[in-house]
Amino acid sequence: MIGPQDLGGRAGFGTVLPEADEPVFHAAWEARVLGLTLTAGALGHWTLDESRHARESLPPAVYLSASYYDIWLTALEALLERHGEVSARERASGHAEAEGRRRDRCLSAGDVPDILRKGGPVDRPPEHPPRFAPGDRVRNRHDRTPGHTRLPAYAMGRVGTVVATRGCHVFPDAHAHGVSAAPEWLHAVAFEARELWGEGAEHGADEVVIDAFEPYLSHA
Amino acid sequence: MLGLPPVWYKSPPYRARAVAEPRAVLADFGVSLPEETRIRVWDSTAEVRYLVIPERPAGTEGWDAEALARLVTRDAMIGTGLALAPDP
Repeated sequence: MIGPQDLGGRAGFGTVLPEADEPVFHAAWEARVLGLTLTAGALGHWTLDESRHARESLPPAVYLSASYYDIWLTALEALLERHGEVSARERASGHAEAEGRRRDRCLSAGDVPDILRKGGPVDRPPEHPPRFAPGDRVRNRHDRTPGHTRLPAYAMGRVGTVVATRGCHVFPDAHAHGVSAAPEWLHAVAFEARELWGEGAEHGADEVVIDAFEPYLSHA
Repeated sequence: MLGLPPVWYKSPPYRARAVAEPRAVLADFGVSLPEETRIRVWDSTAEVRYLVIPERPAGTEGWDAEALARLVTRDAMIGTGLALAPDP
């Protein structure tokens, strides 16, 4: 689906406003939301893709009027309720009525640096050879899909050239919905600005490269 | 690796404009690239992460890593700035 996060090429958001010496957080609650999101993720109820999809599934009017960490918090509440860690009543009252379901997965502050350092690799052993190779001309699919995707709207249906193959990865479009699916090859694909933006291109020969999973691509 | 990105990097104006008008966005950061410089925007749409290596400034031939590192700014490693020029 094309969600409210899919902003590439859209107009009306104004100019970029760099701040001199910007703080890492603009309020103490932002740091707390980041910490909460990381620790709640460690409960293991959902994947990175499901949490991303939860944010991107917020109603566009809500998403676009919320600040970055506001979006994170709203999506986190939805995820905790979906997975039975918090009830609607607890959300409304702000008071816990039952213990968490996965107290054994509770992180202590000392565990965090190691977990962050380890990260969450998404590369997987391939189950078949790649269908595309650098130099191939490819077209992105343009299907309207109801679920999660990492294909930006501006590149749908566009023709580009594979510039690199990045290995085989967890397929977010399935993973976001808790569906187990074969890992997919990932390719860096370059698109000329004139292909993406037509007459409106700033400089026709400039390029945008996206990372595209194989199911997005067909030979062009 | 570099910590949390600045707010503008995650903001709708940057996300909307960086792919469609990278030259205008760079100009907002005070960087104007010549027409003949080809721009390739890397839109990180999966979990692959890119490390930006700033272009080596002219006049730094023979400098060691430590001296070069002093010319590197945060924005140069985000891709919205060039490395600093060496003192003449």
